[in-house]
Amino acid sequence: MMDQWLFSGEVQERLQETHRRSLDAAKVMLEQGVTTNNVAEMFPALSVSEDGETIRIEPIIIETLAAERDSRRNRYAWEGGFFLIVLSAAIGVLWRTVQTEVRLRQRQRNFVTAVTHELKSPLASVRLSAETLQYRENDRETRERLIERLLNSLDRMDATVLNVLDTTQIDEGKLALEAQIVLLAPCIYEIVNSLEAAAESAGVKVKIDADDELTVYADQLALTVVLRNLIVNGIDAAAGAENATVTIEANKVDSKTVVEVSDNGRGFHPTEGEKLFEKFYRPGNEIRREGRGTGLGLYIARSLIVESGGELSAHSDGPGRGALFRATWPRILQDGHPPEVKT
Amino acid sequence: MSNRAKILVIEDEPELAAGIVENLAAEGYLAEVATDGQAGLNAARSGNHELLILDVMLPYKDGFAVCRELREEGNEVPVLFLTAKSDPEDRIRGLEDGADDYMSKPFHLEELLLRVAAILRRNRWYKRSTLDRPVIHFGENEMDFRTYRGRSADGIEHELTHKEALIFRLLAEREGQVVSRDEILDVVWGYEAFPSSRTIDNFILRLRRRFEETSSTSRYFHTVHGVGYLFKGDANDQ
Repeated sequence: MMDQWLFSGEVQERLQETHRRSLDAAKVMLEQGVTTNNVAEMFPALSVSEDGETIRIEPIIIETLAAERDSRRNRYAWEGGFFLIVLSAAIGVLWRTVQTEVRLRQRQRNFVTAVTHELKSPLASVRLSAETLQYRENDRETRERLIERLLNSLDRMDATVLNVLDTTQIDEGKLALEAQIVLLAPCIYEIVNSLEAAAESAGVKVKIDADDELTVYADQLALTVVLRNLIVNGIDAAAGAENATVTIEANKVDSKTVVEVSDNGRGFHPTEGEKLFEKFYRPGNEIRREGRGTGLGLYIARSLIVESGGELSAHSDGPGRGALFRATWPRILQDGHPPEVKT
Repeated sequence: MSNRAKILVIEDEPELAAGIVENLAAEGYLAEVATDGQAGLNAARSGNHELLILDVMLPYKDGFAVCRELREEGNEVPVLFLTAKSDPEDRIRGLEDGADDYMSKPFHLEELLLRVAAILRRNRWYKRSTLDRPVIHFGENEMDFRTYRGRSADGIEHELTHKEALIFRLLAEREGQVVSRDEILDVVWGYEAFPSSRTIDNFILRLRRRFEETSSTSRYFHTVHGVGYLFKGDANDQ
């Protein structure tokens, strides 16, 4: 095949040889008295002069052959090129599909490991508290502390199970949110109060800056879940940082209410911001945990906000440089009309 | 050595860490907590602990890495892994990274306390025994039990694992006498689920590979069939 379309020197020579033999035969025929016209008819590839003195290979034959060769070469180049492009595109698509699948599987594995850890650690704590109650003579104060520890651990397990269930509901499109006008500040204070003990034991200060009048148009429960999620994440990320602080700031911006939850803790790589909202995504690897969690909290938070017609984004200048989560909800408009919300 | 063993608990679940520490304290140990891998590693480096109780899934640095780094730095503090990961591969990985024992969550309080006591007993015995004859010479070989390092006749340096050193120490301490399998299991493995006799054979095999001059004959590490093992050095102790 290569020989054909490249017209190797050998083939060209052979062609010319063939014509040269015709040339010799034509000469012999002319010498034997065959007319010029007859010779020309018998050998269309040769050009015979009127007087029969000059016979040569018709240049057009060589040119035609060369042209045919060129056109074939072109065609092969185009078809081959096209084929290669299609092939690489197909390989590209396949590769991406496989990669996506691999990533998803990896995340699901991470998720199972994370859920296992998120359930087994508090479970171990529950068992330990219960066995300590059974195994030792405890005074009243110790007993109460153990029972409280036991209940805290059960709460953690409950929260993990709820997260998994919420995710299933989001995936099945079963979220039934009922938006209404909600006063934001009391909601924030209530959540922060409930997290006071956790923040204190993590050595994290929580600051709130929210106007009492601020409202959002959202499902009350969804709003609480989202804010709680962001604040818990903030406390978790800030823990251990110098002067660890979580700041919650709420403001009106146009027709929206914006809540920013920022911390001066762990942070993340700036390119990681979007990934945090992907299902099962957890920073770090399978066993090096960059904080608690199943990789579902932010996925749930964003799904809930988007359902309410809002937005949720994450920013950080880099690991160790804190993070800022910005949640936006529609606010009731001044003419009293609720904003348009996707239902 | 104070009688109250100092134990470092590296665990990111605060409730669990608090529960373990209180129980260790109730048993008379001095217990401290670190809540992430890096803090744990730092505390372990400077802490002169007799035992680490180490979670695997930790913030900043996982438990396997903490254990590995300590071993690389020559820190041989005993490590008990306590983790939600219970696959056999994880167990093997932990033990390969130099752990002394491995328990999965949730665990039984009494079992934890028994294992802790067994590890401490074992290591106190090793330290006591090593004080007496830290370096032994046998043939052209040398073994320093303080650093876990040995040198064979061909000049090659060997770094023994904790368990190899424990078995070797037990045999060397009773040089010339047969040490039964049961005794090895009791001293070296303590409370842990007993390994098969084959496991002990493997350890002896590893010691032979390191120190015997030829693979076919055993000059130092002898098997007394049906009974146990016997170490015969040349008694040129330092």
